[in-house]
Amino acid sequence: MRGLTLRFGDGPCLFQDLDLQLSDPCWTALVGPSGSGKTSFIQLIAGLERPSRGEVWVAGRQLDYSRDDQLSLHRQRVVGTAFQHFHLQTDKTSLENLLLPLYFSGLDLTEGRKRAEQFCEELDLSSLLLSPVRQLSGGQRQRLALARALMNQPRLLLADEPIGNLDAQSARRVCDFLQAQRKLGLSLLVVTHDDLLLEGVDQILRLQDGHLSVESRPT
Amino acid sequence: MTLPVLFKLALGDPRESPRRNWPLLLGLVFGLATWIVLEGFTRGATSWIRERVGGSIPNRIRVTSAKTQIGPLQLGGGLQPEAVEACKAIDGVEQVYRQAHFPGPCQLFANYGDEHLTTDLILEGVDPGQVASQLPNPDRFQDTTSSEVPAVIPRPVLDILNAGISAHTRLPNLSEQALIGRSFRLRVGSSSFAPGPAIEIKCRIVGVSDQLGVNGPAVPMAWIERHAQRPIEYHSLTLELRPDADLDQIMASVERLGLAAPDLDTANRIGQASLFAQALAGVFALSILLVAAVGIGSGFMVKIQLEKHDIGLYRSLGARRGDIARIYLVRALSLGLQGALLGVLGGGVVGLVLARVITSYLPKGLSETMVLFQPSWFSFLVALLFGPMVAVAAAWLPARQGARLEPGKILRG
Repeated sequence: MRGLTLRFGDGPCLFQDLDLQLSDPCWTALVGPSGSGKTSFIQLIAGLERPSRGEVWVAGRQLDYSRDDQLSLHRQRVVGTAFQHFHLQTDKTSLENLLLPLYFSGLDLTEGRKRAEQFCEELDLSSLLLSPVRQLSGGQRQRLALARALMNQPRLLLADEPIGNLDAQSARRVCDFLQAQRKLGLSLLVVTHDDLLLEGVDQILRLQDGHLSVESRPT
Repeated sequence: MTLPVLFKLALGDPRESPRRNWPLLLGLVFGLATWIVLEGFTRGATSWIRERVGGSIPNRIRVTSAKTQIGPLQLGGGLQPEAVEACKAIDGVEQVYRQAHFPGPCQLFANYGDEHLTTDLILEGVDPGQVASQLPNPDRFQDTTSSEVPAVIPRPVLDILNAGISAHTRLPNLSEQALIGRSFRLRVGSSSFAPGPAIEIKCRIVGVSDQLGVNGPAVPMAWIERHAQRPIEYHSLTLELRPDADLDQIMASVERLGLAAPDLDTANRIGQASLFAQALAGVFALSILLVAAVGIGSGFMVKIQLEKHDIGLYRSLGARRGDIARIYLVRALSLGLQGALLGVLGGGVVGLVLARVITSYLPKGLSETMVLFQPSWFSFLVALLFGPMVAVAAAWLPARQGARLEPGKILRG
């Protein structure tokens, strides 16, 4: 990204003139105080927010924020987003939630169903595949949201606090799951403060006071 | 997004059940049902009036001399046998039936219950072919040798009689079946205005016909010809046309002979009035649909607001703006189809019930022959097309607005 600036309306700049280049594949953690713009940063890369200025390149292609169809295609094929607040459809089953991204990308639903079963098995959600999401606990919902973000087999996973609500055992399971995906070539940009996740990343970025800095990895 | 997925996302949502959508459906159903009812009654009334004026047998035209005619009254001018021959010679005319007044006064005496009916009238003579197809036993009308002269009652006269019976007596109305076989007496050659030497005959009713206009009872032309004291002039001729005949050409030939077809003119005027009434019904139904459309539009605006989160989610998972718009337009289409089906069904049921209620107040003889509610396939088709069209048009703007929502803004809350 080059010269990335974001401000909402007439408010102050959330961040200004950010420049950053990440290799592919690469696992990166984004840290920073609350309200520093981490979520907005991720949404910019997902094409869900439009920058005030600057450009973003993902997988060799520049995001054209003026072309909505291109942004949709970007979300269908290139990035997967696991939101902090999950954004699941609680009156639908886990399986229906997992298949949602495939509906829009047009990918094969039979294969998608197999992938959903596999993800659920790896994330210990198999028994809940056909349960309505409203019956799931917070931790289960979080894992489901993560699985959904990977259903389209994106090159880059954008995850906002993906293990924030999990107990230690579940968090470990999620980390193992992500590591397995890493072997398949997945890049990760994760907003987290959790050491368990920070241990596995290649680099840590700190977003504070509108500036981005590279931090050393924790030992 | 494939079609099955589109339908699943649009209609698979429990929020889309007709039970929840009934407030939006109501206007559509009411508007379309109104259209079906009004169109059905307009057609029913038109067809009834047309039959009374021109008769129900197709491919027939009644022609008269082109003198002044005011309803059943014709001022002067009878037709001679040459006119009959000239009409027979017109290309496309298969048969010509003559109709004439008996050239003399006449008085009728009949009993019904304890009521006695005595009236001066004009006795009609017709060629049997003119009414034969409407009689249960056509041969009986040909038989002029028996002591009882066969007679046919004009349908409009039966309606008038029944209206009189309803208004002034407690007797049941006369149906066609009840009339056939009954008899009445005729004093031919004398009336209350012109008393004189007369013969008295007994007539037996052999049927009712809508081919005679608003005239007195009709007996076979042969009987009239035998008993008339002076030459007969025909007051009208009924031309039976070949089904493939060119009506315009025939009318041109008829006019060249100095004849006119007043019933045809009246039928045309009735047709125009009917079209106008149908257009009015359409405008009325359209104005209801317009209000319904505003309701649907507002309902979809609310829907979009309530489902904003889902829209944001779909967009974040890769849905295009068009996908979102299509989801809501398919919902509107489904709503429109439901409204159209319910409207057509409701209109049909309400129309039938209303027609039954109205005819229950009409004289029995009249109500038996009157199909008041006659909706057309065209009106059903229009309703089935208009319902979805109105719903989709009404939801267009909200769907477009929903599609243009910014996903980031929605998910940010």
